Parts: sequence; C-alpha cells; structure tokens
Amino acid sequence: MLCQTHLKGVTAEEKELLESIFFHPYDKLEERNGALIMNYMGGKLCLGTNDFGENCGNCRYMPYIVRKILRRQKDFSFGKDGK
Amino acid sequence: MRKEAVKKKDVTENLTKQQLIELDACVSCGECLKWCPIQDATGDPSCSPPERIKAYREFVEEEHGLKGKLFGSKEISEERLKNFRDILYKCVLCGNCGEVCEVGIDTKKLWWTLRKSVCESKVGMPEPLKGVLANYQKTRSPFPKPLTHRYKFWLPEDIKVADKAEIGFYEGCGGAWDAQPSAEGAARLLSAGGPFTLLDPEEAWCCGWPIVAGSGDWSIMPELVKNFVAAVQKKGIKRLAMICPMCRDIFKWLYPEFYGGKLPFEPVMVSEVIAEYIDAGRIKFTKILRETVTNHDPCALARPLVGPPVLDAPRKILNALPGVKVVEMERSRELTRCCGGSAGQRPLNPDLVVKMAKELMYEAKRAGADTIVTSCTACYVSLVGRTHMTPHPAVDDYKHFEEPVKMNDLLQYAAALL
Ligand code: SF4
Ligand code: SF4
Ligand SMILES: [Zn+2]
Repeated sequence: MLCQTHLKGVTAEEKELLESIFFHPYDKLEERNGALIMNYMGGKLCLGTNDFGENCGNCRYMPYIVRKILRRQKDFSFGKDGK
Repeated sequence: MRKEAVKKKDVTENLTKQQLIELDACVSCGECLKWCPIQDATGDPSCSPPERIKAYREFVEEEHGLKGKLFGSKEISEERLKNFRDILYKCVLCGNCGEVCEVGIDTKKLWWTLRKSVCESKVGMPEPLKGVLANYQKTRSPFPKPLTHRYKFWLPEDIKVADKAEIGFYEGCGGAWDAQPSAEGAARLLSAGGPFTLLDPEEAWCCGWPIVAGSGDWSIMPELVKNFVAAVQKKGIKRLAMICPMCRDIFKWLYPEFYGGKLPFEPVMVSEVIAEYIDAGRIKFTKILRETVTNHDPCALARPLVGPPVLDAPRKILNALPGVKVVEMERSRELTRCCGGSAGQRPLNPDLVVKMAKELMYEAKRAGADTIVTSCTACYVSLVGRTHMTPHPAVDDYKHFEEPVKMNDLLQYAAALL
C-alpha cells in the first residue's frame, strides 16, 4: 500500500523530526496547503484503512512520531491531489 | 627489480591461509549459480562466485605464482581492478553460495575480505558507497542526520525504559531511520516480559556493518568497538538485543577480534529473548488474528558468519500467536532467499534490489501466505518501506507495484496481538 495521507497541524519540532527520517528521494514529504503529504511504502493508494483494517491513527506501518500526529487529527485526505 | 618507490599493496595481504587455499579450491562446478539471487536477477555468469574467485586467483598468481617468478611481478592494472570491483560488488553478501558450495568455501568471509582489499587498492570503493562513509564520519551512522533524536522517531511514551538493565535494546540505524515500527514492536515485547534499557542516543553508533561489509572500509573498527563496549557497559547490559541480523553478525565476528577477546556482553536477537519469555510464561498474546503467515529467514540469521543460525526463535513466536497459521516457503531456513536490500545494493544496483524483493513476495504468495514477516530492518525497508535511495526507473515502478501479499516485521506483528 502506498501511503499518501496528509499530515496536518504538524509542529515545528515534529517537522524537524519527520524530515530526519523521510529524506530519501522516494519518501520525501511534500508540503502543500500547509499539510505534509506522506509518500511512504508502495502499491495501491491507501484510502485510510490499511491492509490490516487499521485506520491512520492506528496504522502499524507508521513510525510512532507519525501516528502521534495522525491520532490527534480530525480531517483526513489521501493522495497527491487530496482524495 | 621493483622500480616503484612506494611499496605497493600485496594482493594477498588481507587473506588468511585458508582463504588463499579457497581461491585454489573452487572447481567451477556451478552449483552456487543455481542459488545466487544475483544470478536469478541478472542471468549473468560473469559476476558469479567462480568467475570472481578465478579473477582474484589470477591476481595472486601474477604476483606470487610461477607466472610472477618467470615474467616478473607486474602491478595489476587499474582497469582490471575496476572490472574485478564491478563483479565483486554485484553481490548481496547473502551467503547462499557458501551454504551450497561443493568444496565448502566460506564465501561470505571471502567476499568481505576481498571488498576490504579492493577498498584499500588504488581504485578504492565504488563511488556510490562513498556517501555512506562520509555520513558515518559526520554522524556515526550511515545516514546524514544526528543521533540525538533517534528514540523520538519510534519510542512511545507508555513504554518504560530502565536506566540500567541486564537486557539492552539496540534498534540499530535501520530501526531508527528506516524501520521504526520494527523498533517499536521489539520494545513493546521486551517491556512486556521484563525490564530493558537503551544506550544513550549519542553513543548508539552504527554497528559498522554498512561501512565495513557494505563498502569494504575496515579502518573504523577500532574506534567503533571501543565506543560500543563502553556505551554498553555504562548501562549494565549483559545481553544486547537487536533487530538487525547484520548487527548481530558483525558483533559476533569482528568485534571480538578488534576487542582482543570475548566481548563483555552477549549479542542476541530480540526474537531470541522473546522466545525465552514465551517459554517462561512471561509474555501472553491475548488477541486473535485469523490469517496465514510465512516467516522469511533473513540471510544473516540463516547463514551467519559465526555460530549456529537463528531459525527457531522467530517460528516459536509465530506459533504462539492465537489464530495465526504458519506456512513455510519453498526456500526457507538455511536456504532462504535474499530480499536484495543489503550490502550496498540499494545505492549500487537498485533495479536488482527491486527484482529480488518481488521474487521473495511471489514466493510467499506461492506458499499460500496472506502475510510475510521478517526479522530484519533491511528487509523491512526493502519490502515495506521501499525507500530505495537511488533514483531509478525500476524503483519508480516499484512504488506502484501491487504487492501480492501483506508484509510486516515479525515483532511488530506479534506486538499487535499482546
Ligand atoms: S491507514 Fe492511513 S497512515 Fe496507514 S497507510 Fe493508510 S493512509 Fe497511510
Ligand atoms: S553471497 Fe549471495 S549474492 Fe553474493 S555471490 Fe554468493 S549467492 Fe550470490
Ligand atoms: Zn547493523
């Protein structure tokens, strides 16, 4: 599954941490309209329920720092164009 | 008579007596070609173990054999060294060749040693691997970012970490930068079974594997071993548990050599500790998951550099999971396939890495698995994270490749059922 969930309301400290782990050309975070778009893993675009049936806030594939942000988030969009 | 003023490097310098004999022992039977994942991916016998051995044997003969005596020992040309380097580094150091070798050549150690010799020769290590070394010189990890925040990536606040403990957890650079869910899963299971501690973040340097085995530069070892032993001892650690089999491999083989004897701590896999906790009734899985899973044995656990393989502990954990049915792949245990994600192949040959990873996923599918789990952070990044650092069309394509099975890390998979 390709995760392109949008991270919203990310603090400056969190952003710095995220940039320390997502720096390879293929998983760099993309900034758009104040959100950071994930570009992690591969395959079919995930629309917010992973292949273990978990939602973003509980998604086992996400590093803890990402899950922490997703847990307090209320509104979710997916994909580069924000589905 | 030798003309050059500077003493040139002797091609035999790094090789043990046994390895010199091994160069002569290869009978070119071709058995290893049937098992080599690089052969599967390239179909190119010019980069196979016998060709590599033959090429190096020629170097040795030209310097030390009859040829050298009759015609004078000539310096190996840069071009020939470069050609040799190309075929030597087209290899994931998986050790399959040594496992099946008809004459018992310890190929894995041989490839490590030959990489060292090439790295010290006038041609040096391959260009794309220099970045890893440059990062190490700055950050003490193969990645460009400082060690300071490593635990913030993956360690949840609810997991209790002791200040000192007999069990230490080292998530490795792979766990911190590439496979954070594996690190989190390991820490959850460890803390469910007993106390554990972590190294101070700035002292949790890379184990050295990516630089020493990957690139071939062994010069970092003395400093590395000194730092690691001190960092571990400071925390009262008796057993250092890890989630990267390559870390374990280098700790078991080269650390004692550079330390000058037995290490004051035992390197183990977290899965080995968890298997003991299960036996002792210290960990119970309460949730049920109805699915079929297969275990991928990472190369360095199936064919370690020293000592017996670690094959049963991962299976013990899987078999303890309620509802989960375990199936085996055609190639498992000692003959396991490589995922392709290691030994410098991600920067060097990303297209081959993708081919090898897909091959492994299809093998899991053929076994009837819903999920394939691994016990290695390098497999995790290759199969799940898919962060193959070098831009390449095959990697772009891999981003959209629909995987035939689900993929996960064993400890993370198990921790979800606590
Ligand atoms: S569930 Fe959410 S966080 Fe997980 S892969 Fe899907 S989109 Fe990404
Ligand atoms: S170590 Fe693995 S990849 Fe390298 S030559 Fe042997 S079988 Fe092939
Ligand atoms: Zn390691």
